[in-house]
Amino acid sequence: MPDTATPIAAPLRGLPNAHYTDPALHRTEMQRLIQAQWAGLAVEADVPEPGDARPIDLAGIPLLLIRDRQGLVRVFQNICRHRGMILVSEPRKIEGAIRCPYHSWCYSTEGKLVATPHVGGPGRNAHPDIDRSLLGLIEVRSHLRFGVVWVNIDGAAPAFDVAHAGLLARWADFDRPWHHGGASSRFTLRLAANWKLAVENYCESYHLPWVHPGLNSYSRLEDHYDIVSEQGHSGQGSTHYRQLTGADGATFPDFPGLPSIWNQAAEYTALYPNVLLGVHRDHTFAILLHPQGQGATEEHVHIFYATPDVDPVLAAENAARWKVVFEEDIFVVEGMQAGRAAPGFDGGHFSPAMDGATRAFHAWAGARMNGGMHATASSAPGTDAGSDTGFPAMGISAAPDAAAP
Amino acid sequence: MTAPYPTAPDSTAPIPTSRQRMSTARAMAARDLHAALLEAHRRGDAATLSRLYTDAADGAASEEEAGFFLTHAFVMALDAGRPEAKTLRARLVRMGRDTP
Repeated sequence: MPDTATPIAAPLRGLPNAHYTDPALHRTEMQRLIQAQWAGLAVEADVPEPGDARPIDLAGIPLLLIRDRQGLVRVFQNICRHRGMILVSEPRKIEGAIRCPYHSWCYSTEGKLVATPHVGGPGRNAHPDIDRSLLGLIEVRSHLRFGVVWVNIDGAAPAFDVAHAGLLARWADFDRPWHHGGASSRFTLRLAANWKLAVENYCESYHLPWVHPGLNSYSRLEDHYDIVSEQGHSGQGSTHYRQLTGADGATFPDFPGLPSIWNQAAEYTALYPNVLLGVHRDHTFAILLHPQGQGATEEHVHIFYATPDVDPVLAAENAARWKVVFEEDIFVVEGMQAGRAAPGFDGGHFSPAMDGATRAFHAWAGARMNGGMHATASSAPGTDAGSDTGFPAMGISAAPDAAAP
Repeated sequence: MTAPYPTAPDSTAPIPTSRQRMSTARAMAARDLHAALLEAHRRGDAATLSRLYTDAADGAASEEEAGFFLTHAFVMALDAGRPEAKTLRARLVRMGRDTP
Protein backbone atom coordinates (compact mmCIF):
# COMPACT_ATOMS: atom_id res chain seq x y z
CA MET A 1 0.00 0.00 0.00
CA PRO A 2 2.72 2.57 0.67
CA ASP A 3 3.82 2.38 -2.94
CA THR A 4 0.51 3.77 -4.16
CA ALA A 5 1.25 7.22 -2.83
CA THR A 6 1.32 9.71 -5.67
CA PRO A 7 3.79 12.59 -5.78
CA ILE A 8 2.04 15.90 -6.30
CA ALA A 9 3.12 19.29 -7.44
CA ALA A 10 0.86 21.27 -5.16
CA PRO A 11 2.60 24.35 -3.86
CA LEU A 12 4.55 24.31 -0.64
CA ARG A 13 2.60 27.28 0.65
CA GLY A 14 -0.66 26.90 2.53
CA LEU A 15 -3.93 28.74 2.17
CA PRO A 16 -3.92 32.40 3.17
CA ASN A 17 -5.59 33.51 6.39
CA ALA A 18 -8.71 34.68 4.60
CA HIS A 19 -9.72 31.10 3.93
CA TYR A 20 -10.15 30.67 7.65
CA THR A 21 -11.39 34.11 8.63
CA ASP A 22 -13.21 35.83 5.73
CA PRO A 23 -16.97 35.21 5.83
CA ALA A 24 -17.31 35.82 2.09
CA LEU A 25 -14.83 33.05 1.30
CA HIS A 26 -16.58 30.81 3.79
CA ARG A 27 -19.88 31.24 1.96
CA THR A 28 -18.24 30.39 -1.35
CA GLU A 29 -16.53 27.43 0.27
CA MET A 30 -19.81 26.06 1.59
CA GLN A 31 -21.21 26.16 -1.94
CA ARG A 32 -18.25 24.76 -3.81
CA LEU A 33 -16.58 22.48 -1.28
CA ILE A 34 -19.62 21.14 0.56
CA GLN A 35 -22.86 21.58 -1.40
CA ALA A 36 -21.30 20.72 -4.77
CA GLN A 37 -19.54 17.58 -3.46
CA TRP A 38 -20.52 14.36 -1.70
CA ALA A 39 -20.45 15.46 1.92
CA GLY A 40 -20.93 13.30 4.97
CA LEU A 41 -24.22 14.17 6.66
CA ALA A 42 -24.85 11.43 9.20
CA VAL A 43 -24.61 7.69 9.73
CA GLU A 44 -27.26 5.17 8.81
CA ALA A 45 -27.42 4.21 12.46
CA ASP A 46 -28.85 7.66 13.25
CA VAL A 47 -32.20 6.49 11.85
CA PRO A 48 -32.31 2.75 12.57
CA GLU A 49 -36.08 2.22 12.21
CA PRO A 50 -38.81 3.33 9.79
CA GLY A 51 -40.17 6.73 10.81
CA ASP A 52 -36.98 7.78 12.60
CA ALA A 53 -36.25 11.39 11.68
CA ARG A 54 -33.37 13.68 12.54
CA PRO A 55 -32.92 17.34 11.55
CA ILE A 56 -29.33 18.21 10.63
CA ASP A 57 -27.90 21.49 9.37
CA LEU A 58 -25.06 21.11 6.89
CA ALA A 59 -23.28 24.06 5.32
CA GLY A 60 -26.01 26.26 6.76
CA ILE A 61 -28.77 24.30 5.04
CA PRO A 62 -31.52 22.69 7.12
CA LEU A 63 -31.86 19.04 6.12
CA LEU A 64 -34.03 16.21 7.36
CA LEU A 65 -32.66 12.69 7.55
CA ILE A 66 -35.43 10.10 7.69
CA ARG A 67 -35.98 6.39 7.22
CA ASP A 68 -39.23 6.04 5.29
CA ARG A 69 -41.99 3.48 5.83
CA GLN A 70 -40.29 1.07 3.40
CA GLY A 71 -37.01 1.34 5.28
CA LEU A 72 -35.25 3.54 2.73
CA VAL A 73 -32.98 6.27 4.08
CA ARG A 74 -33.86 9.62 2.53
CA VAL A 75 -32.74 13.22 2.96
CA PHE A 76 -35.01 16.19 2.36
CA GLN A 77 -34.69 19.91 2.74
CA ASN A 78 -36.30 20.37 6.14
CA ILE A 79 -38.91 22.91 5.04
CA CYS A 80 -42.60 23.05 4.33
CA ARG A 81 -43.41 23.98 0.75
CA HIS A 82 -46.08 26.40 2.00
CA ARG A 83 -44.17 28.99 4.03
CA GLY A 84 -40.69 27.56 4.38
CA MET A 85 -41.24 26.65 8.01
CA ILE A 86 -38.83 24.15 9.56
CA LEU A 87 -40.72 20.86 9.67
CA VAL A 88 -38.85 18.83 12.27
CA SER A 89 -36.87 20.62 14.96
CA GLU A 90 -35.57 17.71 17.02
CA PRO A 91 -34.91 14.00 16.49
CA ARG A 92 -38.11 11.99 16.83
CA LYS A 93 -40.21 9.16 15.47
CA ILE A 94 -42.68 10.11 12.76
CA GLU A 95 -45.68 7.95 13.59
CA GLY A 96 -47.72 8.82 10.52
CA ALA A 97 -47.12 11.96 8.49
CA ILE A 98 -44.64 14.80 8.81
CA ARG A 99 -46.97 17.61 9.89
CA CYS A 100 -45.80 21.19 9.59
CA PRO A 101 -46.27 22.83 13.00
CA TYR A 102 -47.37 26.09 11.35
CA HIS A 103 -50.45 25.38 9.15
CA SER A 104 -50.38 21.56 9.34
CA TRP A 105 -49.58 20.72 5.76
CA CYS A 106 -48.70 17.02 5.94
CA TYR A 107 -46.12 14.96 4.07
CA SER A 108 -45.56 11.22 3.90
CA THR A 109 -42.17 9.86 4.97
CA GLU A 110 -41.50 9.44 1.24
CA GLY A 111 -41.92 13.21 0.86
CA LYS A 112 -45.33 13.30 -0.82
CA LEU A 113 -47.65 16.16 0.13
CA VAL A 114 -50.73 14.39 1.46
CA ALA A 115 -52.83 17.08 3.17
CA THR A 116 -53.34 20.83 2.82
CA PRO A 117 -55.92 21.67 5.50
CA HIS A 118 -58.09 24.76 4.94
CA VAL A 119 -56.08 25.66 1.84
CA GLY A 120 -59.31 26.47 -0.03
CA GLY A 121 -60.93 28.20 2.96
CA PRO A 122 -62.13 26.91 6.34
CA GLY A 123 -62.85 23.19 6.11
CA ARG A 124 -61.96 23.11 2.41
CA ASN A 125 -58.74 21.21 1.91
CA ALA A 126 -58.05 21.50 -1.79
CA HIS A 127 -57.76 24.34 -4.26
CA PRO A 128 -57.31 24.21 -8.04
CA ASP A 129 -54.19 26.34 -7.81
CA ILE A 130 -52.47 24.08 -5.30
CA ASP A 131 -51.29 20.92 -7.05
CA ARG A 132 -50.22 18.60 -4.27
CA SER A 133 -48.44 16.31 -6.71
CA LEU A 134 -45.96 19.12 -7.46
CA LEU A 135 -45.36 20.22 -3.92
CA GLY A 136 -43.69 17.30 -2.22
CA LEU A 137 -40.64 17.74 -0.04
CA ILE A 138 -37.46 18.66 -1.88
CA GLU A 139 -35.32 15.54 -1.82
CA VAL A 140 -31.56 15.80 -1.58
CA ARG A 141 -29.42 13.35 -3.53
CA SER A 142 -27.98 10.84 -1.09
CA HIS A 143 -25.80 7.75 -1.07
CA LEU A 144 -24.99 5.14 1.58
CA ARG A 145 -21.42 3.86 1.88
CA PHE A 146 -19.13 2.90 4.74
CA GLY A 147 -22.05 3.29 7.17
CA VAL A 148 -22.27 6.99 6.26
CA VAL A 149 -25.11 8.93 4.64
CA TRP A 150 -23.51 11.14 1.99
CA VAL A 151 -25.33 14.02 0.35
CA ASN A 152 -24.75 16.01 -2.80
CA ILE A 153 -26.86 19.03 -2.02
CA ASP A 154 -26.70 20.74 -5.41
CA GLY A 155 -27.39 17.45 -7.18
CA ALA A 156 -24.77 17.96 -9.88
CA ALA A 157 -21.73 15.99 -8.72
CA PRO A 158 -20.71 12.80 -10.54
CA ALA A 159 -22.12 9.60 -9.04
CA PHE A 160 -20.49 8.73 -5.71
CA ASP A 161 -18.79 5.67 -7.17
CA VAL A 162 -17.29 7.82 -9.90
CA ALA A 163 -16.32 10.73 -7.69
CA HIS A 164 -14.60 8.43 -5.21
CA ALA A 165 -13.44 5.62 -7.45
CA GLY A 166 -9.92 6.05 -6.13
CA LEU A 167 -10.62 5.30 -2.50
CA LEU A 168 -13.24 2.67 -3.35
CA ALA A 169 -10.56 0.81 -5.30
CA ARG A 170 -7.95 1.27 -2.61
CA TRP A 171 -10.31 0.06 0.11
CA ALA A 172 -12.21 -2.56 -1.87
CA ASP A 173 -11.41 -4.99 0.95
CA PHE A 174 -13.48 -2.84 3.29
CA ASP A 175 -16.34 -2.11 0.90
CA ARG A 176 -18.83 -4.19 2.86
CA PRO A 177 -21.35 -3.49 5.62
CA TRP A 178 -19.99 -1.53 8.56
CA HIS A 179 -21.97 -2.22 11.74
CA HIS A 180 -22.24 0.71 14.12
CA GLY A 181 -21.03 -0.15 17.62
CA GLY A 182 -24.01 1.54 19.28
CA ALA A 183 -24.38 4.29 21.83
CA SER A 184 -20.93 3.84 23.35
CA SER A 185 -19.34 4.02 19.90
CA ARG A 186 -20.41 7.56 19.11
CA PHE A 187 -19.31 10.87 20.56
CA THR A 188 -19.11 14.50 19.47
CA LEU A 189 -16.22 16.92 19.87
CA ARG A 190 -16.63 20.66 19.40
CA LEU A 191 -13.72 22.67 18.04
CA ALA A 192 -13.19 26.41 17.93
CA ALA A 193 -11.59 26.03 14.53
CA ASN A 194 -12.36 26.02 10.84
CA TRP A 195 -13.37 22.61 9.50
CA LYS A 196 -10.47 22.49 7.01
CA LEU A 197 -7.93 22.53 9.81
CA ALA A 198 -9.38 19.27 11.13
CA VAL A 199 -8.95 17.73 7.66
CA GLU A 200 -5.43 19.08 7.32
CA ASN A 201 -4.33 17.80 10.71
CA TYR A 202 -5.89 14.38 10.14
CA CYS A 203 -4.14 13.87 6.82
CA GLU A 204 -0.57 13.93 8.04
CA SER A 205 1.45 11.77 10.43
CA TYR A 206 4.11 14.45 10.95
CA HIS A 207 2.52 15.57 14.22
CA LEU A 208 2.04 12.13 15.75
CA PRO A 209 5.17 11.90 17.92
CA TRP A 210 4.56 15.36 19.35
CA VAL A 211 0.83 15.43 19.82
CA HIS A 212 0.12 11.73 20.36
CA PRO A 213 3.12 10.36 22.27
CA GLY A 214 1.02 7.40 23.42
CA LEU A 215 0.41 6.31 19.84
CA ASN A 216 4.01 6.87 18.90
CA SER A 217 5.26 4.50 21.57
CA TYR A 218 4.23 1.53 19.44
CA SER A 219 3.54 3.06 16.04
CA ARG A 220 6.55 5.19 15.27
CA LEU A 221 6.69 7.99 12.77
CA GLU A 222 8.82 5.89 10.45
CA ASP A 223 6.10 3.20 10.45
CA HIS A 224 3.76 5.61 8.67
CA TYR A 225 3.40 6.45 5.02
CA ASP A 226 1.53 9.10 3.07
CA ILE A 227 -1.57 8.39 1.03
CA VAL A 228 -1.65 11.09 -1.60
CA SER A 229 -4.24 10.96 -4.31
CA GLU A 230 -5.74 13.35 -6.80
CA GLN A 231 -9.09 11.58 -6.62
CA GLY A 232 -10.62 13.26 -3.65
CA HIS A 233 -8.80 11.73 -0.71
CA SER A 234 -5.50 11.79 1.12
CA GLY A 235 -4.14 10.67 4.43
CA GLN A 236 -1.71 8.33 6.04
CA GLY A 237 -1.16 4.67 6.77
CA SER A 238 0.57 2.67 9.45
CA THR A 239 2.28 -0.70 9.15
CA HIS A 240 2.08 -1.42 12.87
CA TYR A 241 -1.52 -1.75 13.92
CA ARG A 242 -2.02 -3.67 17.14
CA GLN A 243 -5.43 -5.05 18.02
CA LEU A 244 -7.12 -4.14 21.27
CA THR A 245 -7.51 -7.21 23.45
CA GLY A 246 -9.84 -7.80 26.36
CA ALA A 247 -8.89 -9.21 29.76
CA ASP A 248 -9.41 -12.73 28.44
CA GLY A 249 -7.40 -12.07 25.31
CA ALA A 250 -10.48 -11.68 23.14
CA THR A 251 -10.40 -9.37 20.14
CA PHE A 252 -13.04 -7.96 17.82
CA PRO A 253 -13.84 -10.19 14.85
CA ASP A 254 -12.02 -9.31 11.64
CA PHE A 255 -13.76 -8.08 8.53
CA PRO A 256 -14.12 -11.21 6.42
CA GLY A 257 -11.82 -12.02 3.55
CA LEU A 258 -9.12 -9.45 4.24
CA PRO A 259 -5.73 -10.07 2.63
CA SER A 260 -2.91 -10.67 5.10
CA ILE A 261 -1.46 -7.23 4.48
CA TRP A 262 -4.17 -5.89 6.77
CA ASN A 263 -3.00 -8.02 9.69
CA GLN A 264 -0.86 -5.12 10.85
CA ALA A 265 -1.80 -2.30 8.51
CA ALA A 266 -4.21 0.54 9.20
CA GLU A 267 -5.10 3.51 7.05
CA TYR A 268 -6.55 6.92 7.82
CA THR A 269 -7.79 9.08 4.99
CA ALA A 270 -9.88 12.17 4.61
CA LEU A 271 -12.54 11.60 1.97
CA TYR A 272 -13.00 15.18 0.85
CA PRO A 273 -14.61 17.35 1.79
CA ASN A 274 -15.60 16.52 5.34
CA VAL A 275 -15.30 12.87 6.33
CA LEU A 276 -12.28 11.37 8.08
CA LEU A 277 -12.17 7.60 7.76
CA GLY A 278 -10.04 4.97 9.42
CA VAL A 279 -9.82 1.25 8.65
CA HIS A 280 -8.31 -1.61 10.61
CA ARG A 281 -8.75 -5.36 10.35
CA ASP A 282 -11.31 -5.40 13.18
CA HIS A 283 -12.92 -1.96 13.27
CA THR A 284 -13.37 1.22 11.28
CA PHE A 285 -14.45 4.72 12.07
CA ALA A 286 -15.91 7.77 10.41
CA ILE A 287 -15.61 11.33 11.68
CA LEU A 288 -18.13 13.70 10.15
CA LEU A 289 -17.00 17.32 10.20
CA HIS A 290 -19.91 19.74 10.35
CA PRO A 291 -18.92 23.39 10.00
CA GLN A 292 -20.73 25.59 12.51
CA GLY A 293 -19.81 28.84 10.85
CA GLN A 294 -16.28 29.64 9.78
CA GLY A 295 -14.50 29.31 13.13
CA ALA A 296 -16.28 26.37 14.72
CA THR A 297 -16.67 22.72 13.83
CA GLU A 298 -18.48 19.72 15.24
CA GLU A 299 -16.75 16.36 14.91
CA HIS A 300 -19.24 13.50 15.03
CA VAL A 301 -17.27 10.32 15.67
CA HIS A 302 -18.71 6.88 14.91
CA ILE A 303 -16.98 3.52 15.33
CA PHE A 304 -18.00 0.46 13.32
CA TYR A 305 -17.33 -3.27 13.46
CA ALA A 306 -17.44 -6.27 11.16
CA THR A 307 -20.40 -7.77 13.01
CA PRO A 308 -23.41 -6.22 14.73
CA ASP A 309 -22.83 -7.88 18.11
CA VAL A 310 -19.37 -7.06 19.43
CA ASP A 311 -18.35 -7.22 23.09
CA PRO A 312 -19.84 -4.01 24.53
CA VAL A 313 -17.16 -3.63 27.20
CA LEU A 314 -14.37 -3.91 24.65
CA ALA A 315 -16.22 -1.58 22.28
CA ALA A 316 -16.56 1.02 25.02
CA GLU A 317 -12.85 0.75 25.78
CA ASN A 318 -12.01 1.13 22.10
CA ALA A 319 -14.15 4.26 21.87
CA ALA A 320 -12.56 5.68 25.00
CA ARG A 321 -9.08 5.16 23.55
CA TRP A 322 -9.94 6.86 20.29
CA LYS A 323 -11.57 9.72 22.15
CA VAL A 324 -8.29 10.40 23.94
CA VAL A 325 -6.46 10.52 20.62
CA PHE A 326 -8.98 12.80 18.93
CA GLU A 327 -9.15 15.10 21.94
CA GLU A 328 -5.37 15.46 21.82
CA ASP A 329 -5.78 17.10 18.41
CA ILE A 330 -8.18 19.80 19.59
CA PHE A 331 -5.59 22.25 20.92
CA VAL A 332 -3.70 21.96 17.65
CA VAL A 333 -6.54 22.90 15.32
CA GLU A 334 -7.78 25.57 17.71
CA GLY A 335 -4.27 26.96 17.96
CA MET A 336 -3.93 27.10 14.17
CA GLN A 337 -7.31 28.87 13.91
CA ALA A 338 -6.25 31.46 16.48
CA GLY A 339 -2.95 31.87 14.65
CA ARG A 340 -4.75 32.89 11.51
CA ALA A 341 -5.61 36.21 13.10
CA ALA A 342 -1.94 37.14 12.81
CA PRO A 343 -1.41 39.29 9.71
CA GLY A 344 2.14 38.03 9.38
CA PHE A 345 1.07 34.47 8.70
CA ASP A 346 1.50 33.91 5.00
CA GLY A 347 -0.18 30.54 4.63
CA GLY A 348 2.80 28.72 6.07
CA HIS A 349 5.55 26.65 4.51
CA PHE A 350 4.84 22.95 4.06
CA SER A 351 7.47 20.29 4.52
CA PRO A 352 8.29 18.87 1.09
CA ALA A 353 8.74 15.47 2.75
CA MET A 354 6.02 15.31 5.39
CA ASP A 355 3.04 17.43 4.35
CA GLY A 356 2.10 15.88 1.01
CA ALA A 357 -1.34 14.71 2.10
CA THR A 358 -2.27 18.13 3.43
CA ARG A 359 -0.97 19.80 0.31
CA ALA A 360 -3.12 17.46 -1.74
CA PHE A 361 -6.20 18.65 0.16
CA HIS A 362 -5.28 22.26 -0.50
CA ALA A 363 -4.83 21.49 -4.19
CA TRP A 364 -8.22 19.80 -4.31
CA ALA A 365 -9.90 22.69 -2.52
CA GLY A 366 -8.11 25.23 -4.67
CA ALA A 367 -9.23 23.61 -7.88
CA ARG A 368 -12.84 23.72 -6.81
CA MET A 369 -12.71 27.21 -5.40
CA ASN A 370 -11.29 28.24 -8.75
CA GLY A 371 -14.08 26.45 -10.58
CA GLY A 372 -11.99 23.57 -11.90
CA MET A 373 -13.19 20.08 -12.81
CA HIS A 374 -16.89 19.56 -12.14
CA ALA A 375 -16.89 22.25 -9.51
CA THR A 376 -17.83 24.92 -12.04
CA ALA A 377 -20.84 23.06 -13.34
CA SER A 378 -21.96 22.19 -9.85
CA SER A 379 -21.29 25.50 -8.16
CA ALA A 380 -24.25 27.52 -7.09
CA PRO A 381 -25.52 29.88 -9.77
CA GLY A 382 -24.23 33.37 -9.50
CA THR A 383 -20.98 32.52 -7.80
CA ASP A 384 -17.88 33.99 -9.32
CA ALA A 385 -15.52 31.25 -10.40
CA GLY A 386 -12.25 31.99 -8.82
CA SER A 387 -11.45 35.64 -9.09
CA ASP A 388 -12.34 36.33 -5.47
CA THR A 389 -11.00 33.21 -3.86
CA GLY A 390 -7.38 34.05 -3.42
CA PHE A 391 -6.20 30.78 -4.93
CA PRO A 392 -4.80 32.14 -8.23
CA ALA A 393 -2.17 34.06 -6.32
CA MET A 394 -0.99 30.75 -4.92
CA GLY A 395 -0.44 29.35 -8.36
CA ILE A 396 -2.60 26.30 -7.81
CA SER A 397 -3.76 24.82 -11.06
CA ALA A 398 -7.48 24.88 -11.69
CA ALA A 399 -7.24 21.35 -13.02
CA PRO A 400 -6.78 18.91 -10.15
CA ASP A 401 -5.21 16.29 -12.37
CA ALA A 402 -2.71 18.68 -13.88
CA ALA A 403 -0.19 18.26 -11.11
CA ALA A 404 2.85 16.28 -12.19
CA PRO A 405 5.98 15.23 -10.35
CA MET B 1 -63.49 26.57 37.17
CA THR B 2 -67.00 28.02 37.57
CA ALA B 3 -69.78 25.46 37.83
CA PRO B 4 -72.38 25.84 35.05
CA TYR B 5 -75.20 25.94 37.59
CA PRO B 6 -75.54 25.79 41.41
CA THR B 7 -74.35 22.48 42.76
CA ALA B 8 -76.88 22.58 45.59
CA PRO B 9 -80.63 22.75 44.75
CA ASP B 10 -82.11 26.18 45.39
CA SER B 11 -85.74 25.79 46.27
CA THR B 12 -86.41 29.42 45.48
CA ALA B 13 -85.05 29.24 41.91
CA PRO B 14 -87.45 28.67 39.03
CA ILE B 15 -87.48 25.14 37.62
CA PRO B 16 -85.66 25.09 34.21
CA THR B 17 -87.68 24.16 31.20
CA SER B 18 -86.84 21.12 29.08
CA ARG B 19 -85.34 23.31 26.35
CA GLN B 20 -83.22 25.15 28.90
CA ARG B 21 -81.93 21.84 30.30
CA MET B 22 -80.95 20.57 26.85
CA SER B 23 -79.17 23.82 26.06
CA THR B 24 -77.24 23.63 29.31
CA ALA B 25 -76.24 20.04 28.64
CA ARG B 26 -74.94 20.96 25.19
CA ALA B 27 -73.01 23.86 26.64
CA MET B 28 -71.48 21.55 29.25
CA ALA B 29 -70.57 19.03 26.60
CA ALA B 30 -68.99 21.75 24.48
CA ARG B 31 -67.02 23.02 27.44
CA ASP B 32 -65.86 19.50 28.32
CA LEU B 33 -64.85 18.88 24.71
CA HIS B 34 -63.02 22.18 24.56
CA ALA B 35 -61.12 21.38 27.75
CA ALA B 36 -60.29 17.89 26.51
CA LEU B 37 -59.03 19.31 23.22
CA LEU B 38 -56.82 21.82 24.99
CA GLU B 39 -55.42 19.11 27.22
CA ALA B 40 -54.71 16.83 24.25
CA HIS B 41 -53.05 19.72 22.40
CA ARG B 42 -50.92 20.37 25.47
CA ARG B 43 -49.80 16.73 25.49
CA GLY B 44 -49.32 16.65 21.74
CA ASP B 45 -51.59 13.62 21.65
CA ALA B 46 -52.58 13.51 17.99
CA ALA B 47 -54.57 10.27 18.25
CA THR B 48 -56.79 11.67 21.00
CA LEU B 49 -57.12 14.94 19.13
CA SER B 50 -58.33 13.05 16.09
CA ARG B 51 -60.97 11.25 18.14
CA LEU B 52 -62.13 14.44 19.88
CA TYR B 53 -62.33 16.40 16.64
CA THR B 54 -64.30 13.53 15.12
CA ASP B 55 -66.71 13.77 18.06
CA ALA B 56 -66.91 17.50 17.51
CA ALA B 57 -67.68 17.00 13.82
CA ASP B 58 -70.34 14.43 14.63
CA GLY B 59 -72.04 16.88 17.00
CA ALA B 60 -71.59 19.94 14.82
CA ALA B 61 -74.51 22.26 14.31
CA SER B 62 -73.80 22.80 10.61
CA GLU B 63 -71.99 21.22 7.71
CA GLU B 64 -69.58 24.13 7.69
CA GLU B 65 -68.68 23.42 11.30
CA ALA B 66 -68.49 19.68 10.62
CA GLY B 67 -66.10 20.28 7.73
CA PHE B 68 -63.82 22.31 9.93
CA PHE B 69 -63.69 19.70 12.69
CA LEU B 70 -63.38 16.80 10.25
CA THR B 71 -60.38 18.52 8.68
CA HIS B 72 -58.65 18.61 12.03
CA ALA B 73 -59.66 15.04 12.80
CA PHE B 74 -58.17 13.94 9.47
CA VAL B 75 -54.90 15.85 9.92
CA MET B 76 -54.41 14.54 13.43
CA ALA B 77 -55.13 10.99 12.30
CA LEU B 78 -52.48 11.43 9.60
CA ASP B 79 -50.05 12.79 12.17
CA ALA B 80 -50.63 9.86 14.49
CA GLY B 81 -50.55 7.26 11.74
CA ARG B 82 -54.10 6.19 12.60
CA PRO B 83 -56.03 4.08 10.09
CA GLU B 84 -59.07 6.35 10.54
CA ALA B 85 -57.31 8.90 8.32
CA LYS B 86 -58.59 7.05 5.27
CA THR B 87 -62.25 7.15 6.25
CA LEU B 88 -62.02 10.72 7.48
CA ARG B 89 -60.58 11.83 4.16
CA ALA B 90 -63.32 9.89 2.39
CA ARG B 91 -65.95 11.80 4.40
CA LEU B 92 -64.32 15.09 3.43
CA VAL B 93 -64.20 14.05 -0.22
CA ARG B 94 -67.89 13.11 -0.12
CA MET B 95 -68.61 16.55 1.32
CA GLY B 96 -66.69 18.15 -1.55
CA ARG B 97 -64.07 19.44 0.91
CA ASP B 98 -61.04 17.49 -0.31
CA THR B 99 -59.81 15.56 -3.33
CA PRO B 100 -59.07 11.84 -3.31
